[in-house]
Amino acid sequence: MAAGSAQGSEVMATGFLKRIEQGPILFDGGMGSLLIAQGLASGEAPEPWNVDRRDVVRSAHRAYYEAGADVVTTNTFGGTRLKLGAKGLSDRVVELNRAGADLAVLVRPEGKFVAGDIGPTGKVTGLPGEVSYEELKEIFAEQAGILAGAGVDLLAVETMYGLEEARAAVSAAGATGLPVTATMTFDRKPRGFFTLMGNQPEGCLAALEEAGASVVGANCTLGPEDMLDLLETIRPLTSLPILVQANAGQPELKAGETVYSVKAADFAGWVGRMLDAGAGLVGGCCGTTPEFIRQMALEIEARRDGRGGH
Amino acid sequence: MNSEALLKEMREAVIQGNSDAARNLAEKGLAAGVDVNKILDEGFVKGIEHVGRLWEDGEYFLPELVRGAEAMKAALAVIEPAILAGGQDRKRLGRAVIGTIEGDIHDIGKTLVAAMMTAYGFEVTDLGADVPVTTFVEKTKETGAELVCMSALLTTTMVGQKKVVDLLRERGIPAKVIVGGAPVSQDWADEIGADGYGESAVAAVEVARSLVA
Repeated sequence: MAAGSAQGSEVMATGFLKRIEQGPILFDGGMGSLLIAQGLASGEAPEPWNVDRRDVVRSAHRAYYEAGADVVTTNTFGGTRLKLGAKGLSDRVVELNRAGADLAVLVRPEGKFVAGDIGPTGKVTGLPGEVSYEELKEIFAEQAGILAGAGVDLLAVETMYGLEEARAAVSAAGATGLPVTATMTFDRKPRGFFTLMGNQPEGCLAALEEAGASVVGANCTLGPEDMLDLLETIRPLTSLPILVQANAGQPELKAGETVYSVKAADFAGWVGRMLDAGAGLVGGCCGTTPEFIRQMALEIEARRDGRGGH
Repeated sequence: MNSEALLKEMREAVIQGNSDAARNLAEKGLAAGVDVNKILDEGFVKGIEHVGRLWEDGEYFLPELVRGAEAMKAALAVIEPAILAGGQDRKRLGRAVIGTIEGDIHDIGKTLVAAMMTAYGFEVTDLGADVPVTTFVEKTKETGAELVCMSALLTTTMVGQKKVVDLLRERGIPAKVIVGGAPVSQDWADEIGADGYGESAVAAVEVARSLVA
């Protein structure tokens, strides 16, 4: 890959934003399903594998880079103090986030990137007995600080289902000085796309940008077809680059195993249409594997050749 | 205020998610001597059913749903003691244990079902979310529940529902099992040997009532 030869996290940080301008960026796909295939039990938190099963997590990152991903995402989705605390792991916040970042940073090829993954806390704001915006911000700042300190190139706030929590996470992540991608998860309802908390994309994109996101978008919940519709809805609403990461369709249970309805080649075809519709960054979410990313890389390559670069 | 107007206000209080109003109206209704079954069935229960429908139609979201359930609970907190004091009779439908299966922190659908079942006259033990298989089985035995209601929102966790059914049968506990949650279907319920499947909160309560009838 052609990119600056400079190394070191500060230079790489601006490197990521520069890289966006040079044409589509490919994120990785799902992590959970790869870990489950290696024996992660139902209900088991994935983050301790950053220490106990380093080989498995490292292989997953490597497989995604080899498949053509420009960005891999650390195995720290549930790494906030609140989320780990729900599993009795609140005393391991530093250890598990640090280890998660290290694993990805160590296998990062030159010119590629590591995104420190920040997912929701599992709590909601604005309801009695739940957590406040300020508390959330502190909780996200802790995780973001650990990931940034371990040398990730950007922070990926993802799968947010409430705007207030998303704003807290983006604002805390941005305070590290790293670029922040912010994706929320929307479902298709009769009146349009909504988060679980009832936020519509229109309001979310502006608020996320104001909170300091460099990239905005959507991930999870939707299959590629609905995600394309959502992309077409949000493209005119923001001047920021858009990141979309759909699920591999809907999960079904067949003979005790989770199977997703959309296959890699078809998924990549949809992703091609997302690129044509103005997505600047693409990747996969639940049910997507290195094979999906490999096929998506081909789609990107075909467009790069066809247009002679962006 | 006549009782029809009062019942309408009760429905509205739950639909608006106004806990204070729900509590006050429950007290007013009892003080006015309105039949407790009427207060619930034609007042608050109708309200929470409406909330459930608005949720399913995509008109209501999590905040409205939780506030509706909170208002329902506030009303029940007033009404329950009145029933227990024996002043009024409330039909008892049965005892139920409810929770979201291990590994799954999704609470919403389950909480709504619990609120509605309580409102209909079930004695509900809500185990919360992320409930281990053994806890489901032990609590069922401990409370003598006739019904076990399990939610799972993830395909990775729904297999836990099967484990609960298996362990209940293995220990010879006769409770009937209802399963629900986004990835769950009637086929899945049949496959794991559950007795019922609720596609929505309203449907789940219907199934619960039919299983104890």
